[in-house]
Amino acid sequence: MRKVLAAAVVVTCLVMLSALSSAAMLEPVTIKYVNKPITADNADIFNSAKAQSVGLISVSQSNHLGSGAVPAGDTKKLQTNARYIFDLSAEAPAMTVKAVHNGKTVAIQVTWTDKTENVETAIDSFRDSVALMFPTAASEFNPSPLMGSKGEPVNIWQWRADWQAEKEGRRHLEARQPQTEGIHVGYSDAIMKGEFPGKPSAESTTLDYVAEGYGTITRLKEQPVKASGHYKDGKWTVVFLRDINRASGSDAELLPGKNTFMNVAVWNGQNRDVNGSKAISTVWIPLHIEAAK
Amino acid sequence: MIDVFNWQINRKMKYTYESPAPQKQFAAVFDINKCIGCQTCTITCKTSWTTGRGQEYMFWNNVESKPYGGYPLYWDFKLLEKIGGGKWNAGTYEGKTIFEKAAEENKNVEGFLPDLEDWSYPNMGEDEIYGGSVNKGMHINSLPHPIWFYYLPRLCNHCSHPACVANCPRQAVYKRPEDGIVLIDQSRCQGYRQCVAGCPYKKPMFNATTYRSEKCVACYPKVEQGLHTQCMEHCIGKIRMQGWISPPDAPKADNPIDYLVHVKKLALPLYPQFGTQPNIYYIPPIHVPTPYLKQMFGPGVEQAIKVYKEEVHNDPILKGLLVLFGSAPEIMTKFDVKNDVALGYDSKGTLVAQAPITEPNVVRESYDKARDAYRLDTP
Ligand code: SF4
Ligand code: SF4
Ligand code: SF4
Repeated sequence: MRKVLAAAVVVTCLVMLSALSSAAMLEPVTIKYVNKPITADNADIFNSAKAQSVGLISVSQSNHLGSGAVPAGDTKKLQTNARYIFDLSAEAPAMTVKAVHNGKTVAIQVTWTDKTENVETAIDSFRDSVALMFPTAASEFNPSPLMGSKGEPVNIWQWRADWQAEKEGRRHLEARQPQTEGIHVGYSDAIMKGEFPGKPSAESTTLDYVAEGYGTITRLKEQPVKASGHYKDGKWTVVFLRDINRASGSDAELLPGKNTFMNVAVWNGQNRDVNGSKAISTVWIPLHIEAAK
Repeated sequence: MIDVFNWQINRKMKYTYESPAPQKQFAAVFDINKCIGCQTCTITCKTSWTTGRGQEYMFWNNVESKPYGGYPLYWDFKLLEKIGGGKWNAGTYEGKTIFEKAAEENKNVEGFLPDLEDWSYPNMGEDEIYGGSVNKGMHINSLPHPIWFYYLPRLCNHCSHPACVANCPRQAVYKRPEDGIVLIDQSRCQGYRQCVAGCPYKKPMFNATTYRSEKCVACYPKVEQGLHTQCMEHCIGKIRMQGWISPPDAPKADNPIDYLVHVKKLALPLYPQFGTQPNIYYIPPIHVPTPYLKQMFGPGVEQAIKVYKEEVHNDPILKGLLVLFGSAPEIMTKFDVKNDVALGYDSKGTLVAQAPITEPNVVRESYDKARDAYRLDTP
C-alpha cells in the first residue's frame, strides 16, 4: 500500500493547500543584486547568491496515462474528476535555488537530483522538465497554487530537456522515429507546422505560459524567457533568464525592492511524468527581489 | 461521473461528462464480407492527411487481419484483459466498461499507452489463417469455415461517449455538436497522450514533431459539403456506406444506416463492451465461427449472420441497399428501391445514385449471323 497524504479529491487538496500556504513560514528566496553582466554561460554570477533548498512532494495522478480529466472553471466537475494524490512514499527530488539580478536581467538557477537523464519525447518516451510559476502581478497576496484561478493568473516558465538536447545537436530523428529518415514529407506538412509549431522557435528550450486554473494553460505570444540546462552526476542544473521588465501583463512582475512568490514543479521522464504527475513545491515560496544598488 | 444510457450495451453506465446527442451523428456501415484488404482506404487517408514529419507511423485508417493482426499490436486483447471480460445477458452487458473498470481505481478511463514497437507492424498476421493448416485437396463447402481469417478496416469511431474526450485533462478533445465528429484542438493540446492511452480503439496518435496528439478528422471539410470521407469514397471493395445514425428509438426506415443498424440489425458495433458507443458498424463475416465474432461485435452476431445468409436474397429492399454501397461520392441520407433499382438521395433530396440489383446483361451467340462470323469467347 502506498502512503497517501491527502484524499484523492482535489477539493480536499485545495483546502489543505490554501491552509498550508497561508500558514507558510518558508524562508524567502532572495533574488540577489549583482553588479555584473548576466548571461546564460556566466557561472560566476551565482557566487554571491545563497543556495536555498526547496522541499518537493511527489504528486501522482491515479489516472496517470490511463486518465486524468480536470476540466477548467467548473468546481462541480473538479470534484468528480480530479485524481491528484500527494504521495509521500515516492522519493521526491532534492532541489536548491539560487537567484540574482543586475537591474536589467533576472537569473534563477534550479538544481535537482534525478537518477536518469531523459531527453526524448516521442511515441512512448517522456522528457525531464522543470517549471517555475509566479503570480503575474506582484503583491503580498498569492493566487491559488493550483495554477492560479479566474482573475488571478499565474505565469509559468517551463524548460524542457528534449529541446535542450535538440539545441545541442544531441537529439536525432532516427532515435525517436526509427527508419523514417528520408521518407517523403508532403507539402501540407509546412502548413500544419506553420500554424501549430512544436516549438516557438528552432532554438527554444522553454515555453512561457499564462494560466488561470487547471486546464487553462496557454502559450504566450511573446516568449521572453530563455533557459539553459545541463545534466551532470545525477543532477540537472537549469538557469532561467528573463528581462526584469516584463514583455506583457501575462508575464510575472519582478520589481526590485519588492516581494512576490514562486512555485516549482519537476517532471521525471523516467516515470512518464506529464501534466499533474510531477513533484511540486506545494506552497508558494516567498520571493524577495533585492533593490538595485 | 454521470449516468448515461448506452443502447449498445442496453443499460445505463457512468461517463465523465453529460453527453447530449449531437444534432446529427456521423456513422458508417462496413460490410466485412466484401473487404479485400487492398489498403486503398489506408493509403487515401495517408496521402490526404498524414504525410508530415512526425506522422510517418500514423494510419488513421488501417486494415488489420484478424485474429492475429492489430495496429497497434494487440490493442484489443490487451484492453479486454484489463477490463476482465464480462457476460451478456440477453442483449445487456453485465461486465464492466472501461469507465466502470477505471472507477474502481479512482481513474476516468481504463487504458494503456502502446509502445513504439507496437505501432511498427501494421500488417502483422496478414492473411494468416486460424484453425489449422490448409491440406492438399482441402475443400471447404460449409459455413462457418473450419479455418479462417478476415480483414478488419478501422478508423476513429467518433464515439457517442468518447474515451479520448473523457481522458483529456485540457478539454482539448471535443465532440462537435453539429455532426458528432470528434476532434483534437491543436491549439489546446499539450501532448499529454492521455487520449492515446484512453481510446480503446487506439485512434489518437502522438506526433513527436509537433508534440501534440492527432486523430482521424472524419474528413470534416468533405463531410460539411455532403461528401463521403476519403476512405469511404475510395474503397475499392465498395464495402462502406456512410451517413447519419438516429437514436435506436427513432429509426428512419429510409435512412440507409438506420435500416442496416436499427431496423434489420445487420450491422453491429465494434467491441460494444468497451462502453464508448462507437459509430462505425460492421456486418460480421459469415465464414467465421461465432464465439470469436461475439467477443468482437456483441450478442447480435447470430441474428446478423442469419439475416445476411437467409433474408438478403428474399428482401429486395435490403438487397438494393447493399448494392448502393460505394455508388456515389455524395453521402446518401435516404434510399429507396423501385423496380429492382436502388436509388440514393443526398440530404437535399437530389438523386445521386441509381444501382440496378441485377446488372442488365446480354447473351451473345458465338455465331454472328449478320456478319457470318464466329466470336471467340475470351474468358
Ligand atoms: S474511437 Fe477513440 S479517438 Fe475515436 S471517438 Fe472513440 S474514443 Fe475517441
Ligand atoms: S475519415 Fe478521413 S481522416 Fe478519418 S480515416 Fe477516413 S480518410 Fe482518414
Ligand atoms: S479500400 Fe475497402 S476493400 Fe480495400 S481494404 Fe479498405 S475497406 Fe477493404
